[in-house]
Amino acid sequence: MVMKRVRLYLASVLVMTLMFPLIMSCTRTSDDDFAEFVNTPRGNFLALWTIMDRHYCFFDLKQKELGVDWNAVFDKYSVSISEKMTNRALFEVLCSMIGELRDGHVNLYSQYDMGRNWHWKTDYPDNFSKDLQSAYLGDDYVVAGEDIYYRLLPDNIGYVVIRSFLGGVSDSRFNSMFNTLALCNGLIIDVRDNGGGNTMNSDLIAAKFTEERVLTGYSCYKNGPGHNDFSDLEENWLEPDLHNLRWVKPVILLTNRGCFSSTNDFVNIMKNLPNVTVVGDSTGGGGGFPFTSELPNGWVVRFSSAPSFDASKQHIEMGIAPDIRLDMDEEDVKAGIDTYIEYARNLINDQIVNP
Amino acid sequence: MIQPAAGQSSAWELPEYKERINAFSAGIGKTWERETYISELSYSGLVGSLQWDGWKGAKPDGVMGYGRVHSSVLFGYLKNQLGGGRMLYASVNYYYSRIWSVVHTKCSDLLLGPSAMFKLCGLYDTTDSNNTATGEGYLSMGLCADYICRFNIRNYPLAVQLNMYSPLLGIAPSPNYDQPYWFVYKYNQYTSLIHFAWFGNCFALNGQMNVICPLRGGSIRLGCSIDYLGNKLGGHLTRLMDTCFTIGYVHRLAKKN
Repeated sequence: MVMKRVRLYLASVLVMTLMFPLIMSCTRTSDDDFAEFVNTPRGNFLALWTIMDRHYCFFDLKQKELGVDWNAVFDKYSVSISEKMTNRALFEVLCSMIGELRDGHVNLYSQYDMGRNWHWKTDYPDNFSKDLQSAYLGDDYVVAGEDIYYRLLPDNIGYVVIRSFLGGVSDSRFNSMFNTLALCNGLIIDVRDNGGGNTMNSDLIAAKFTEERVLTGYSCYKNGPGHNDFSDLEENWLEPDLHNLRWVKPVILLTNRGCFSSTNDFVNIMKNLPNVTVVGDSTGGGGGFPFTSELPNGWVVRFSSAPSFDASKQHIEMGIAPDIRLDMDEEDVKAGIDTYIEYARNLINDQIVNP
Repeated sequence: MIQPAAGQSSAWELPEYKERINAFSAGIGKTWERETYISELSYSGLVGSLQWDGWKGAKPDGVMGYGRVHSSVLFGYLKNQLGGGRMLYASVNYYYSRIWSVVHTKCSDLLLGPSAMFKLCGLYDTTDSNNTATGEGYLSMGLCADYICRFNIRNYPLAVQLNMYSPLLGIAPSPNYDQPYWFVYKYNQYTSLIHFAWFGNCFALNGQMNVICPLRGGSIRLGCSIDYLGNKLGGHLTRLMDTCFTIGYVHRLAKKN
C-alpha cells in the first residue's frame, strides 16, 4: 500500500515535470517588456523609439545640452507615420527622429541608405585640409602601421599622422619610429578627421607615451531600460607599454571636430599626460560605445549604450576641449601653410628655448 | 526484411549490473531563437545534432540506481523573417543522472531521479556590430525521467522510450543587458556574468522520444528531440528552442565480470 502511494506520488511529480512547458507557455504573457513589434510603419516606428528609449545612454545629457526630450520626440514624429507611407518616407522620418540626438554613433541602416546626423562635425569649421596634410607628409613618409604615417620635418620635429584606429598596432614599427625620431625636439601627432576605429588600438598607442600609470577616465554601461539605469563606474587606467620604446619628449596633439569615437578616447587619454599638449578645435565626441539591434522590417539600428567619462567624471560625448584653441587661417591655407602644424612647430621650438 | 536478433523477445531492457548501453544518433531539424541582447527579432533556421545516450546498470541492491548520460552537440544556421539577418548557433549539452526504477512491469519501466546538467549555447550574428555574439549557459541540478514501453507488432518487438530532463536550480552565465564583452574582459567582470537560476527565472527542458527497433547484433533508433532554454537573466530575453528528427543505433556492451 505504501509503495503504491510512493509510486503515485512519483508519477505525479513526473506529470508536473511534463507540465512545465505548458506553464512556461502561459508565462509568455508576462513578456510585455519583450513583446515583438509588428512589421508595419507604425510598428517599426514604435520599435525604433522603444529600442532607443530602453538602450540609448545619453538621454539626460542630450536633454541638458541640446534640449532633447525623447517623449516629445515621439509626439513630434508619431503624427508623420501613416500605414500607407512608403518605405523611403518611413526611413526619412525615422532618420529625422534619431537625428535629434546628434550622435555620430546613432545610425539606421536600410537597404538603400545609412541614416545619420553629422551636424556635430559639419556645423563647425573643418580646420583641416587633407591636401595640406599630404603636402607636409611629402612622398617620402614612412608607414608605421595601417593609416599611420610619419616623417621628419626640417626643424628636427617628428610629424606623425594617424588617420584611423581601425588597423592593428605594430610594436616593431613604433619602436623603429621612436628610434628614427629619437633626436627630435618633439613630436606632432595629427589626428584631425580621424573618425575612430578600435578603442584597443588607441589605448595601445597611448601607452607608448607614458612612463607611469595614469587614471584617464571612467566607463559604465546601461544595465536596465530606465534612462538612468547604469552599472557602477569603472576606472580606466593607462598602463605604460613597458615592453617597448616609449616617447617622453614633448608631444603636440592636433585635433578638430572630425576626431570621433576611438579618436575621442585617444585624445581623452593623451590629455592626461604631462608631456602632451592638445592644440586645435574640440573633438567631435562619440563617447558612447555602440550596440546594435533590428527593427521588424530588418533595418539595423546602432546606438550608444556604454558612456565614457574623463578623469573628472565628465561626459566626453559632446567632445573634448583642447588645451590651446586654434583655427585654421584662410590666408595660410591659400599660401599652402597649415596653421595647426606651424603653430605646433613653434610651440615645440619655444619649449626648447624656454623649457 | 528487417528481423530481430534470434531469440530476442524485447526491443529494449534495462541494463544489468556492469552492463552498458550506448546509443548514438544524428539528427536534423529546426531551431528558433530570440535573444534581445543581439536583436529584437526572432530568428529561425536549420539545426543539425549529434547525440549520445548512455545507460549503466544498477547494482543488484539497487541503492545506487542506474547511471544515465545524455550529451548532444547542435549546430544551427538561422535567418530572421525577412531573410536579411543571419546567425550561427552552436550548443553543447551534457546531462548526468542517477535514476531509480519506480514502476517496472513486463511492458514498461518508469525511472526517475536527480540530474546534473551542463548546457552552453553560443549565437553569432553575422551583422557587423559590437554586440555581434552572445553566450548563454546553465549549470544546474534537476530531474530526469525515463519511460520505456515495450510492445510487439506481430512478432516484431519494438520499444518506445521517452526521456526528459528539467533543471530546477543552478547558475546560468549570461551577459547583462547592454554589457559589452570587452567590458567583461577589461574590468575582469566575469562574476557579473553569473546569475542564480531556478525554474522560475530560467527554464530549460530536454526531451526525447525514440522508437527502438532491434536488428541483428544491435538496434536502430528513430526519434525526435526537443531542447529549450528560456530566461530573462541580465534584463534581456533569451529563448532558444531546437527540435530534431534523429536516427541512430543502440549498442549493448557485454558485461564485464
